[in-house]
Amino acid sequence: MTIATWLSVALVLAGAFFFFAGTMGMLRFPDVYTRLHAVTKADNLGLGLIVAGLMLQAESWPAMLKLALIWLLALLASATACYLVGNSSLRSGLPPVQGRYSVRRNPCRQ
Amino acid sequence: MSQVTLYTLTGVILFFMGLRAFLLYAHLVRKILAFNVMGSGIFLLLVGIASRVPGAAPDPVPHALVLTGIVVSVSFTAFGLVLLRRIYAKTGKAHITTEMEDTDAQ
Amino acid sequence: MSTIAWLFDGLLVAALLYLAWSLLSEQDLFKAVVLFIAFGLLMALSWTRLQAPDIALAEAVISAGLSGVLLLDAVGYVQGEKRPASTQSEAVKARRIEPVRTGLNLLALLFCAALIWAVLDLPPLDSGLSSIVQAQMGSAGVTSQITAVLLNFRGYDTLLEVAVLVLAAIGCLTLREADQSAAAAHLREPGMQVLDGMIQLVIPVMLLVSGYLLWAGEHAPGGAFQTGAMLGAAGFLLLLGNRMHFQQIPGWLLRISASLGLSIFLLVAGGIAISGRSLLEYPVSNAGKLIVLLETAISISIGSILIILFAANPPSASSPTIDQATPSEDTTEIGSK
Repeated sequence: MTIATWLSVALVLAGAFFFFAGTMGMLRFPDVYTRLHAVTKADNLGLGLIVAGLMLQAESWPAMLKLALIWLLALLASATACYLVGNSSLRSGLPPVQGRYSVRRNPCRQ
Repeated sequence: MSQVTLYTLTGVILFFMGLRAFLLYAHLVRKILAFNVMGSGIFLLLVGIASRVPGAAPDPVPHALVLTGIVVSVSFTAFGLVLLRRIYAKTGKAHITTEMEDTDAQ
Repeated sequence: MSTIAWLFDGLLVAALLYLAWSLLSEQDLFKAVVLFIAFGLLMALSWTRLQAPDIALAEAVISAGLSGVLLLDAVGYVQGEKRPASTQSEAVKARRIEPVRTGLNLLALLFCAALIWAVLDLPPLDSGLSSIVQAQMGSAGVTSQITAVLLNFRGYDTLLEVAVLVLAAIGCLTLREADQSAAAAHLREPGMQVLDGMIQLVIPVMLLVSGYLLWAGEHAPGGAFQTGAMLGAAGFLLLLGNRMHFQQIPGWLLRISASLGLSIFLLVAGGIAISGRSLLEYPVSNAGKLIVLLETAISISIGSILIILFAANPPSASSPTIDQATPSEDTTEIGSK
């Protein structure tokens, strides 16, 4: 295996780790705001890392650019969706969970 | 058994899951959801059968059928939902009731 | 490597079955529709595993995107439904229905087992269609097999299918509620500038991608159906973000663009029939040009038909689905602790 292949593997694995972390956050955080925070940030970074890993394996420049375009579009869509969900939750009167939060109170961990 | 068979069998199970839900649930949105699951099952079955020869390229004819089928299923869904809205606007109900149920409710 | 592939396929299939089961048995309709959207995305992933990128493209746009939006709006519309309280007659009815339910379950299981047996019993033989398609590719006018099947070899099917779409659009336009003035005000809420900005950035890219898909359909995954779905999705976004108002689109434009595909298809078929060939038997030298013409017309038609289907199922003004469902879901989870 060449260096590029090893680098791809490392990048994709790192990306998968961030996806995993984001999903854990979505399952275990207490309210919609923290869940959005976990999912949007971690998944955007995870996708970016995976796309970077795949770009190293791309056969041509156009294929690389298409991969980059996928990441940019996903960034745009997830940022907007995150903002819209957060904004409408706040305006509909859903209060963010305040103060210290212990994992033991989390309903998802029973 | 190959991986393709796995998807084909999933298609069969999805179809019957959908069929069962379609027959059992009275709520019309559920019926439309169930119909879509049934459709997905049929599509998986068709495409799975299309590539059952190991190593060969998949048969393009079922692929084309499924492609048109997906577009038809969205138009079906939309038409069903328009009918649902009309029923709801007229009767205030979004689930199917039989004559018997109506007299029971009175 | 094969073990990893098996593992991946196994996980994907298990997730599909689990999602289907939970979306069908979920009590909350809003959650059921969200699960359905996730199900559609996993279906798109399955198509790529089955070497069907054409279907994956259409599935990702349509099942996960367009159907999801339509269903969410419908759930919002019927949210206020008053279910009759559980009375004694309900209990009696439930008892009466129980044997029917058991019988149906048994019957479904029986048929399911029979079909599984039939699938496992299928000989790994070619149906013969694949080789016929390959033999005829020289006269198809395009190099993508699926496009050739759709618009040349099985042109009849596609012609009728486009007719079905036009019928669905006519049905929706006829049955939709006339007064939709309230629906337009729904999304004019503070903070929509972000959505406006995204729409401005994304719409040109979507148009570019649909043009690319139309061009790519000649030799690669893509073609009229994916292009039409992409155009429809762009229309959905414009309507949802209030950048385009359905009432302001002139009726004649809508009618012409929705029926363009069917009309041109019929003209081509009729023209070929008059010139002494059988219906839709393209002259080999012009097959490529005719297919491009048909694909363009069908794409525009599918795009505008999808916009009509969306406009017939507008977001409900009274109950903004996302606003109510998201908090209620979270409060119940926290409260239930």
